[in-house]
Order: sequence, then C-alpha cells, then structure tokens
Amino acid sequence: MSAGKSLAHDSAALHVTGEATYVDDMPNVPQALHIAIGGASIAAGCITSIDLSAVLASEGVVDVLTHEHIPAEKDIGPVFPGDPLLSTGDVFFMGQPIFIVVATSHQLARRAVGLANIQYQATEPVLDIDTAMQRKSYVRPPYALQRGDVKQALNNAAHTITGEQRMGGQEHFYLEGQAAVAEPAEHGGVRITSSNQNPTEAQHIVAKVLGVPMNKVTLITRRMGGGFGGKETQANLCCALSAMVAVKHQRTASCRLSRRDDMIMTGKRHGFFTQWTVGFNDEGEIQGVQFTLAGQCGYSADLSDAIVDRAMFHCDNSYYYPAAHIEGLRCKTNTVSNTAFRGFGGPQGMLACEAMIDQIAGYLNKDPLEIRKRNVYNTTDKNITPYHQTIKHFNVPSIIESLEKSSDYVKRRKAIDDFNKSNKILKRGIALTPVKFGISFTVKHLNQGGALLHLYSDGSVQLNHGGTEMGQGLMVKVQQIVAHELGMKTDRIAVTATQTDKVPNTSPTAASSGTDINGAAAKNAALKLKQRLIDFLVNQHELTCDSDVKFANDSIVAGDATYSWESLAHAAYMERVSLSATGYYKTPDIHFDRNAAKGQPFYYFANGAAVTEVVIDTLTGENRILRTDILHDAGQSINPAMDKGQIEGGFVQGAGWLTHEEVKWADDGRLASDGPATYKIPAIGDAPLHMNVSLLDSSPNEVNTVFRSKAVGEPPLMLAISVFCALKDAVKAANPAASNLQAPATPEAILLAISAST
Amino acid sequence: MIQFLLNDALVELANPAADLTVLDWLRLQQRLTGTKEGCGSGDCGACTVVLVSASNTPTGLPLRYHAANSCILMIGALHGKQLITVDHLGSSTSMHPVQSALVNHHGSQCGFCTPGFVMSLFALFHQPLEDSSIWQDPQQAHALIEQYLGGNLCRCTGYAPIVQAAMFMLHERFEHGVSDAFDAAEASVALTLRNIEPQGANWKGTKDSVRVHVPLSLANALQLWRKTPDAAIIAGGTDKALDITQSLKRWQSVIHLNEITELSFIEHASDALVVGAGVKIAELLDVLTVDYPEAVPMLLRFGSEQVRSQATVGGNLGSASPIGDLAPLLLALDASVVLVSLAPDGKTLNYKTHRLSEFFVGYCETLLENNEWIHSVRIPSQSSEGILRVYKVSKRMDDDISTVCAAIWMQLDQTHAPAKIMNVRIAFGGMAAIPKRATRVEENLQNAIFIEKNIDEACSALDEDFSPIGDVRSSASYRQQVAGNLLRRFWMECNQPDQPDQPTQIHQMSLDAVL
Repeated sequence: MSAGKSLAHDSAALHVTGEATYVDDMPNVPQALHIAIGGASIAAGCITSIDLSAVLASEGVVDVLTHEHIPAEKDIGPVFPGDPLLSTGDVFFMGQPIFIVVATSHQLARRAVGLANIQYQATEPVLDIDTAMQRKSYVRPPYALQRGDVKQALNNAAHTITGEQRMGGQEHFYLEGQAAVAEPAEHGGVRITSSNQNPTEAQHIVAKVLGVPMNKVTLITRRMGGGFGGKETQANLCCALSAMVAVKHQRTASCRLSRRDDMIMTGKRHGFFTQWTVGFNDEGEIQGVQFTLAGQCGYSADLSDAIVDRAMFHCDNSYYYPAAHIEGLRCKTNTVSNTAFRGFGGPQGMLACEAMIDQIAGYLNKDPLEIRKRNVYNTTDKNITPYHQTIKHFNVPSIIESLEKSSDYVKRRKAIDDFNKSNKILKRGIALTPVKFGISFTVKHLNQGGALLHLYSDGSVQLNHGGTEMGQGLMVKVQQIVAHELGMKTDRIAVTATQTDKVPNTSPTAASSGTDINGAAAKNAALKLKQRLIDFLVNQHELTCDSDVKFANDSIVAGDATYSWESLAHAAYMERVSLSATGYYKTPDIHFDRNAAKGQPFYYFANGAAVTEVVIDTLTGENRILRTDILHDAGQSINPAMDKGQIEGGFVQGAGWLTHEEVKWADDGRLASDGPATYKIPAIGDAPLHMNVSLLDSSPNEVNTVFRSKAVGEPPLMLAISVFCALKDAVKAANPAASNLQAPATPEAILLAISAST
Repeated sequence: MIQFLLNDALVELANPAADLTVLDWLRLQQRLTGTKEGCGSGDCGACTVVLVSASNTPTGLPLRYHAANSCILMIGALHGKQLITVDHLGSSTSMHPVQSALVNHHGSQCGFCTPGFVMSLFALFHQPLEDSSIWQDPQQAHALIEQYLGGNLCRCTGYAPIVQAAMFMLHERFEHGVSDAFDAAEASVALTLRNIEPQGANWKGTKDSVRVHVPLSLANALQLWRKTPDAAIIAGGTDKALDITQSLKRWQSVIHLNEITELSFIEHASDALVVGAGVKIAELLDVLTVDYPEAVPMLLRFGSEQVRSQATVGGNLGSASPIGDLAPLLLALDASVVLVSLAPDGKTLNYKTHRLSEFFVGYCETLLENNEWIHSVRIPSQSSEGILRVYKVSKRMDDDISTVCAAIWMQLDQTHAPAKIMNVRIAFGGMAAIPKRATRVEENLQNAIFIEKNIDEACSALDEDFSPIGDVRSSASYRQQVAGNLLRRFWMECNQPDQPDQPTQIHQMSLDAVL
C-alpha cells in the first residue's frame, strides 16, 4: 500500500526547519577537542625536518601529533596499501596530511597549523596522465577486456578512424564537508559519529589504526549532507584521526575539514584520457573497436582498480561491438588519490564511447542519432558485451524511439538548423544519448545487505539497515518497503541512524545498490517477523492456514478477530513471541572471472535516455542548457518522487562535470581550484531552462529485485552526456572544421574549439 | 555594546570579539545549529540568514528584509537589526509557508543547503512586489527566482523542485495574500529596532577595551580610526571577512561603517549622479535600473543576492581588485571618486576628488592615502547620453567572478551614414592588474567611422593596452580573444536592425523558442 507512492523524504520537515542534525551540529561537549590537519607544501619528495614547537605553543593547542603517534596501522588504504594516514616521511601530493593539531576550538586548531616549520627535499612531480603513461607509472597493473578478433575486424572494415577524448575530474562538493566526532569508550574502544557512506569500512580502518578488534569500534551515521561517492573511503581520514585523539586524550574529539582542506586533501572523480580506433561500414555500423582508457588515479590505488574497470565495462554504453579490445590504465600522479564519484568510472567510459559515435557520424556526415540507433544492442544477435555478458532484456531501443517522438527531435533539429543559419552570434545544438548502466558491485562480496527490525510492545517499529542516507531517500524507500510488507502506515516505522553495532559487516552505500540490497534485506526481516506473528495468530485463533491472517490498512485480521498494531504487539509480547528480526540479502546470479575477463558482473542494467538542447555564444563560449527531456527506467518505482529527484539531480551534476566544473592544478602541483570561488558547481541558472522528466511506464524489473524496482542513484548522471554532445553539435554549427571539444566544455574550451582553423 | 533582535528576543552583547562572525556566534555560542557552514567564504549560501532593518525601508513599509551570508557577516553588522534564522521560522510540526512549499515539492534531498534556501526564499517572500506581471509571467518569475536563489548552491536536486516550490510560494504570497507571523509582528519589531540606542562613538565602559565600533557619523568614524589606526574597517565586509574565515587573521578591533547615513546617500545633482560609498550594490541596482538600465544585467550577476545586499560601492572600488565588477562600468561612465579625511583639527572633514581612471595605480593599490576613505562616486550626467553596454564573462552565470568584464560607452554622430564615433570609453576588468581603460583602442576609435573594419582594426590595439595573465579562471589568450570579441559584440548589437528579434546573448533565449 505504501510502496509506489511519492512520499516526502523522511527528513524533509527536519531539513527545512534546520532540525535535522549533522555531525557538526552535535552538542558541544565541554572539554571537546578539535583537530586541524597540516599538509605538505610540496607535491613530491620527502620531509627532511619537522619543527612543530611553535604549533604546540600556539593558543589553545593541547597536542600535536604525527605518524609516530599512530598506535598501530599507519596505512588506511581501503583495498590496497598505499594511503598513509599521516606522512611517514615521503610526500606524494601537495596538501598530504603530515601532522595534526589538537586544540580547544576548531579556529584555534586551524590557526596553529600555519606555524609549522617543515623542510623538504623536493623532486619533480608527475601531474598529468600523459607523463604517467610515458613513464608507465601506474598504481595498479593495466588490464584488458577482449572479445573477438579486433585486428581482423578493423582490417575488414570499410572505414577505420582513430580518435581521442580528454575529460577532467570532478570535485564532489557535498555541501557538508567531511566530519567525524569520536567519543572514547571502555577498553580502549571508541564510538564515532561520522558523515560516512561506508561505516563498516571506517570501523575496520579505525580498529586497525588503534590496534583493537572491530568490536571495540562503533560507527554511527544518521545522515550526510551529500556524499556522491566522496564519503565512501575518504571519510576514513576524519574517523581515524578523531578516534586516535579521543583514545589518547580520553576526550571527545571532533575532526571536520574546512572547505579548502576538504577540496585539497580528499579525492575526486578521475580525469581520463581516452583513445580509440574504430572500424565501421558505410552505414556507420561498428565492426570492431579498440579502446585505451587512462584514468588519473593520483598517488595511490584507493578504489581506482574497480573504477577503471567500470570505465572499461561502460565504454560500450548501449552499443554492440562485434569485436573489441579495451585496455584500462591506472595512471599514477602526484595529486590527491582519486576516488569514487557517482558513476564510478562509468561516465568516463561512456563519454569516450559517445565521442566516438559522434566522430563516426561526423565522418559519414550523418546525424549522430542515426549512428546510435544503428549500433544499439538487441536481445537476439547483437547482445554480447565485451565482457561476455549476454544482454537478456534491453529497453533502450524503445526508450530512444519514444523519446525521439515525445521530444519532437526531428522537428526541433530543423528549427535549430534554421536558427543557426540566421543568427550570427548564437548557435544551438541538440543531442539524444542513451544510458545503459550495469547494476551490482563488480567486487562480488559487496553485493550483500543486512537489516534489523524491532516491533516494540506498543506497536511502534524501529528499522535499521546497512545503508546510509545521503539525501537519496534510501530511508523512506526502505521504510515504504517494510510498511508495504506489513500492511502498516509508514509513520509507525521510525528510521534510525546506521550503526555498525546494529547491523554488522555492511557494504558501502554505493554502486546505486542502497535500495536493492538493504531494501531487500529489510523486506526479508519484515517477512520473518510477519511469519512469527502469523504463527502466533494461527495458533491463538485456531485458524486453518496462514492466509487467514491478513495485514492491511494498518491493522491485522485473524479470522474473525481484528487487531491494531498496538494490540497485536502487546498480545504477542505477552505470549513471548520474539519481536525482533534480522534480514539478509545477497544478489544472485553474478559472477566474473577477472583473469579471463568473462562473466556476468551485473545483475541487470538500468537504462534511460536524454535529449538536450543547448545554446552557445560564439564570441565568448558561454553556454546554457535550454531544454532537456528525459525518459528513464526506474523499474517499478518504490517512490517516484525520490527517483525523479535522483534523475534531475544526477543529470545536473553530470552537466556540471561536463561544462564548468574544472579541477585545475598549478604547475607546482597545488590545487588551483581549491574553493567555491574558483570551482563552479551548477547554480540555479545552470539547470535546464525547461526540463521534462518521465519515468518509463509499467516497466517492472525483469529480474527479481525488491518491488521489481531498479537502481537509480548513478545512472542518470550519465544522461548529461547529451549536454556535451549537444554542445559539440552547436560548436560544429559555428565551425564545421572545429577542433575536438574537451571536457569540461568551459566557455574557454568551446571558444577554443570554434576558433580552430583546420 | 551592540544590540539587536535575535529572532524575537532582544540581545545585548557587551563587548563581543571584533572578528566574531555571525555564523560562529549562532552555532557555537547560541547553539542554533540550523544555520549551516558550507564554505566559510560566502560562496554557497548554506549559512544564509535574513537581516531586517527599520531604516531605508521601501515606501510605505515598516521593515526591509535582506538575505545575507552569516559566515562572512561580522557580529557588529547586527547592531540595530533583527536577525532571523531558520530555527525561528517554523518547526517541523508547524512550518512556515516557505518551508512547507519546499517539503511539498520535494525540494530537499541531503538537506544541508536547505536552511539557506529557506532563508533566501523567506527574504523573497517579504519583498514588496507590486507589479503582478513579475510573478504571473513564468519567464519573469523564473528570472526573479534566479536572482534570489543564485547564491544558494544545491548539489543534490538539480534545482527543479526548488524552482517549483518558489513559483508556488510566489503565487501563494502575492496572488493569494498568504501571510506569516513576521507580517503580524512588523510594527512592534520596527518600534524595537528604532528604540535601540544609537551607538555612535558614545561608548559605555572603558573606551580602550571596546572592540566593535558602530559609529553613526563620518566624523566620529574617522576620529575612532585616528585613535585606533589598526582597527579593521568594514562596510559590507563581503571581501574583508575572508581575512578571518580564510586567511585566519585576527582583528583586535573593528569599525563598522554601515550605519553612517552620510555614506549611504544617493543624490541626483545637476551635473552628476552621486552615489555614497556606503550604498549597497542592491540599492545601486535600484537606481541604475532607472538611470543606466544597460548596467542592470551585469549588476544582477554581481556576486549573489546575499552579497549584493551587504557589499558596498566604496568597498568594491576600495579593494581595487582587478576583477571587481563596478570599476569597468564606472570607468566607462567617466566617474570620479570623492575621498574624505579628517583634518588635523580632528573635526573638519576634507574632501578631494580623483578621476576613477587615475585612482587605481597597481594590483590592489589606489591613490587612497592612509588617512582617507572613499566618500562617494560621481557619475557625470553627460554619460547618460550615449550607448552603454556592460558584458560580464565568467565560467558560471550566477555568483561567479569575472574572467573578463567589459564596459563600453560610445557617443555616435548619427548625422553621418554610417555613423561616426564622437566619444568612446572602453574599460575592462580581468585584463590587467587593475581595472583599466583600453586607451589605445579608444584612440583608434575616436572620430572613426562606426564600421566593422574599424572595430576589427581597433581590436588589434588591445595587445598594446593589455597583456592579461592566465590563472585558474582562464588562459591569457582566452581573455585577450574575448576582450576583442566583446567589442565586436558591441558593434553587432548596435548594427543588426535587420534582425531586431534575434537574441545576441544566451540568457536572452526565451522559453518559447525551444518549446
């Protein structure tokens, strides 16, 4: 009854009134300590001497700590080692944490940082992908996907062209910066409240850093002020530092990063340099393709292996390659270690793919949409991906067809051409691009979820699960699932903070998996609890079968008797029925042999498409999104309003990545775009002037996900590739000989492309 | 002592720290944590609060409401004002119409930026909008919403539901006359604010230990400054406050200039429009809408509403930033700056005037002596008789710093065909260490025939006028190319009578064109 409804976000009323509590809003404990981090002022080299006496003498400073004070493990690398919590002597990027100041206030701690006297021996930093590629400097070994004989396919193709696409990184710019507050607990333990997508991982890291078992560390996350992947591994820094200080001083310790420190010290989306050779026939049908996808990983592996993998898994986007060789390079540079960001490599792979499609269209002088439609997968003979997964269900062709009509693509294409002929300064462009995004963690063991459900004797319910809330509406969706299964009102169910002492061994809320795995686990918990209540009622009322008990409309009918939840909970409690249930779920049918590069890494695919129209100013390169039409497949939506929110928000975030969000480093390795004055995420005027977003009607997921819904967190971000392709279309209208547009398509990049005279 | 209303309670702070921001005071000292810190530099709007003032109110109204970024608002700026925070607007069980509009339209996701949006919308809710077309015409309403929310960043929603909530709110307020508790309390709030003791330089307590000064007269302010030459001087403080929040400096004492009425005047003199240094950008916008409407599009992109409501004309010129947006406009209008200082007698005020084109002497350096402040700006009346265009180019449309800002003023002799250029002034921001006139280009164009060829030729003189730098905003070559292209735009905009309906700038594209 409640699943499928557009309920408001469970915290909406708290958000708008300021009553929602974030980490830094927790009441000040008297005697609480505050941490600020001192970072390296060179990009590569080593520390020759450290003098922190002036820091320690500064007002309000209680302690100054370096790596020597770390109780146990000094490396907080989440998957592979290589991420020192505090530098042990080597410097890998400018801003790398070297020491921390512990003071009586946030301000005093920050002020003291500048008093450090650190001497270095600097070496020449590697700051870009090209240099790293030349030196074969990688954080992880290269890896390739292979299907068919590409060499032969390219030789046999009527046309063979090569191309490249560069794309920048992206700063998460969650509005709430990284923050953690640690309170000391007994037996050397600690209890940490953190803005965190991955509480279990932080628990694990903190335990290692402190040298205590995981059972001494509790992580709590009620909500984040935005995550987007930036709090999957990057939250570990504040957790570990605050834990260290809390345990050492036996006082509450707070570590929150200033916006500038956050931008400098935590990882971002990987910039990529992508190259391809593609063979195709006169109709633009692809015969074979060879890709090299080189990601800028920064100084360490972090999650880069899986991120570049996902780029490789998505450089087919929605198109069939009869033969393909796809190589992924994990380039090592002296910049902050890049990390997860909504899409997790998928957007970069997909952008390379769509750039290639545009190039084929340009070469054959055809509308890119025609090339897209010609190469799109089907479920019969063009249905094997480069990683040998068979596409069993695929609604991209029908989505494209439907969107082409509803957006008046053909008519508008004509209107745009007319406009471009008559306007000297402004040029418009349009593009339709699809999205096929694989759902599941490509690391198999992460595809599991857990939940804990309590029915109290007064009929109220408390729900807990392993997923974290970062704004996406996970809590309300899971609440709706449980309410649906139990036939109860959603407001009977209290959503609580994610806590590692309630549900253990959780997976990060990432890979768009939040609802799929945690919602399914919560559903299983609800079913377990429900069965116990059925058994109790069948027994109590001497009913013949389970179906004589009905849960609906917030009450329970058992034969002739009707219960309210209050009366049933009380009755069951008095008869000693266990009213607490755990639920567990693991995603079925996924496997991938990384050595053979074959398997079925994805349980299913999320699909959608967007048509975007833009205008550019040929004098300045300024641009604006005029209109976007989106048709997206969210399966059978649990909460259409939340899903629509993910689609609109993901689209604009993706548009920011591809237009004016420019991560820039200075020649010495300093992050030049280190604040909102220099790094511009979309503001209100950057949203499309007009936007139509529709969810695909009656499209229950073909595989058995919870409520037959589809994951919707990341896929819509890639709908914004339509913005970039539309900008290219407009650039081409301004100058048919325009050079290749680089991403992000800043005004400068657009003007540069237009001004080319090739 | 400073006095103000925090929501509905009168607050007296005996001697607050000079460098205390309103955000820190709210969050750390009052434990009012609804107001969030997103960036600490006035760029994201998460910390937006509303300041209510009983002075300079719109005609017939007792109060005026302005959104401001509390992270860069110093505590002394509150004196005599009402500070309204999100905590006071409503509760989750009894919401303000602005809050329920956002909830009903799914306008929050992570919720961290939301209190800031609520307060910006609350400020909009309390604007007097007499012209009904503003909220009835979707395009105008959209522009108004962008104007008020351009300084609030949201990373989650993509803004669509927030715009919808704002549209709904505009209709509720201005069509259906929905009111709130603040409307009902206006008279008593106005009375309270007017009763707050004017502070002037008449201090209670030991004068030497006073850290926050809010003088009411220019003479008093200058006397205070003479006595405490190390005091920080702030008007709006939207730039200066970054010394505290970003550079982590300390101020022992501060002199706030925002209550000095002698600095916040606007006068239409016979030969000039005179604008006091203390006039806020938002107030300047109102005046120029009438006198120089061509400047309005740029002024609407000056910072954000939160910044425009605090930042002053004098502050923008005095900081002498090469990318301050007022300077190119005022240079093109041939404005002068009037400086004021205190005579040795400690009473008399001395004035002197410089042409603005001579005022900037180096990077963030001006002709200001160390005993002078900017008093006012004079824009000669004859500048209203010419063609004016102001172009701001930045990476992002809202709340961004200019990569290049150009202001072009020209008088044409239309008795010639094609027309002849009689007078020309062209000024750029972002092209040099100071905001600067393109004198060689101007020489090229003076008395030239207004044809494309001559514009192109004049553009080549830009290399003699400027050698811009490359930085995080753009390369040097982009700046140079755009500077020339903006001159070409000026020419094209003046010369397309055959296509009067064709938009020439992206923000002129109407919805109708794409639907």
